[in-house]
Amino acid sequence: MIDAIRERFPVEREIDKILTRKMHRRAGLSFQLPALADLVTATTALIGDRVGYPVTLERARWLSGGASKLQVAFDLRWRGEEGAADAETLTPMVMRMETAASVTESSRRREFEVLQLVDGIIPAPKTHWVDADGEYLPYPALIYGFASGVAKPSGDAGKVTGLGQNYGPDLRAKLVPQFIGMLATLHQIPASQFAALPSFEVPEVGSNASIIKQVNTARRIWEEDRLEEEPVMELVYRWLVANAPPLDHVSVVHGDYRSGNFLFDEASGAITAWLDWEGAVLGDRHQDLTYVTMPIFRHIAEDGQTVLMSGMGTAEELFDRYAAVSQLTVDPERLRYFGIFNRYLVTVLLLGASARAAQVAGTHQDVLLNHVAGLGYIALDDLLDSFRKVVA
Amino acid sequence: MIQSFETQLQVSIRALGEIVAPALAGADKHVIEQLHLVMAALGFMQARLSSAVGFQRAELESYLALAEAAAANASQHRRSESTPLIDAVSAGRAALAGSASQADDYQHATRCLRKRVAALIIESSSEAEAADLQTIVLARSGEMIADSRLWCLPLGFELNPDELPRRDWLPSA
Repeated sequence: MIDAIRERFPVEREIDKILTRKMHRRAGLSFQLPALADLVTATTALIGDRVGYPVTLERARWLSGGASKLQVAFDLRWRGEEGAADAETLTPMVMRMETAASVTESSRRREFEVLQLVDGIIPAPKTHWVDADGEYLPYPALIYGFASGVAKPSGDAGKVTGLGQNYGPDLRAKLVPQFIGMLATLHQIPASQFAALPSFEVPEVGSNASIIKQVNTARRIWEEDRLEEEPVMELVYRWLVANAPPLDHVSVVHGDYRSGNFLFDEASGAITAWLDWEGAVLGDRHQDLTYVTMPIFRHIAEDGQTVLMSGMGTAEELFDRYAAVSQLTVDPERLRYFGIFNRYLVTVLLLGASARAAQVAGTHQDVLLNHVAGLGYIALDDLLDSFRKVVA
Repeated sequence: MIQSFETQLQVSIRALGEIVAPALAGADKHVIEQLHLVMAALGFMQARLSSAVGFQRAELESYLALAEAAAANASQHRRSESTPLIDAVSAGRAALAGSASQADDYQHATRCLRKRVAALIIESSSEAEAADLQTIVLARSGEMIADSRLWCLPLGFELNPDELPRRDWLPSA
């Protein structure tokens, strides 16, 4: 069955490896939460081997947050970045490890590569080491620096309606230029730097083959994970393949660029780190642009009328600002396409991957994944509504 | 028998909320979060247990209507491959008519219909057939998805619950 699905829905090589591994894992036992002490031992061994001298981990503790990976925070006693033999420093870090199943099955190798690429370009957690194949830890893992900042304001930002994060007018004014500026910077990373991403396939400008592979990735997850069929999903898949636009420019696409997915310094309003790079691809900037505007990240502004995308601004304001800063065009047709693509993907992840991961007892928080799977019908309704409009 | 499902859920939720949760006040955040999610899962069952048969039956009825329209479309386009769908429709009708049918029987029949309608989309033999089938599916899916949202209402994700339809399978307020 696995081979038949692989053949039917061709995807990028590294993605194929990850999804195939997921299916093989599924045949095994359910996920057992490792003891914190065992993870500390394995992480210590990993880092010690990578730096070439003994290190110690202190203050190890579970880190809450996120629905897809297991995280342990700790302080690393080591020689620091420079590694001088007489140096000793204590650096706060995080070990982020996969579980047997996930709402977003992804590659630690790719996450490591893209974080290394954006280091110094976009604020993001500094990655140090990767255990891409679970050689030391029970499952593949990353070690990265602990990023400072908060994901939401500590005070009450005012009563609004909508699921999206509300930053309030003062903070919003500081965040918007960074939010858009960083997205533009990300999308303008030149192709000459893509050699730093060996686990990513570099798409060709003028071809839609890479977009179809991305659609196939979502479709393959749906095929592997759904608990029951949904005819609307089949219609949308066919449309996405038939209407995939050729790339006009290859960008590093974050894949989960939205409110709530960055940390900021509350006093200055400076964005300190963009999080969750596991869905990054080389592809079309409109994927990120439309993701920012997904309904679940919106809320109504203080005037009671204006809909703020990702708590930042209207779609028109954000797209105009992006076009001015990036010097890249914002194409309404591509916005329309990726609006459907992102809704399809989110529905796959909620109704398919989340529900399945919980059902197979594949994570340390099945109860959370089971809960969020209930959001899937709202996502599906939104997809249906948007799809009806594009095919009308 | 005095041991009802409703009471089991009620006493469990109360114990977790009033005894266990306060005792975990200083526990790790993710532990408390999981406790509240367990309570939400039990609360969902408590809210929906008595409606399960009615919901599954109504869902099957909706899917039968969709499947019959899809089968008629296939027939109109002279498709013989719709036989499995017609068989699934017959099985669904039998489940509805069966006096001993349970929620699981309805759910199984619905899942077969879902599978067969989706297969018909994949196997469409002409653009005209595919377009007609798309029109049928899009026209009928809205209400069915609204029903699914209504079923999930106790999970607490709906911003405007009053905008969802009322259905016979829901207990009267």
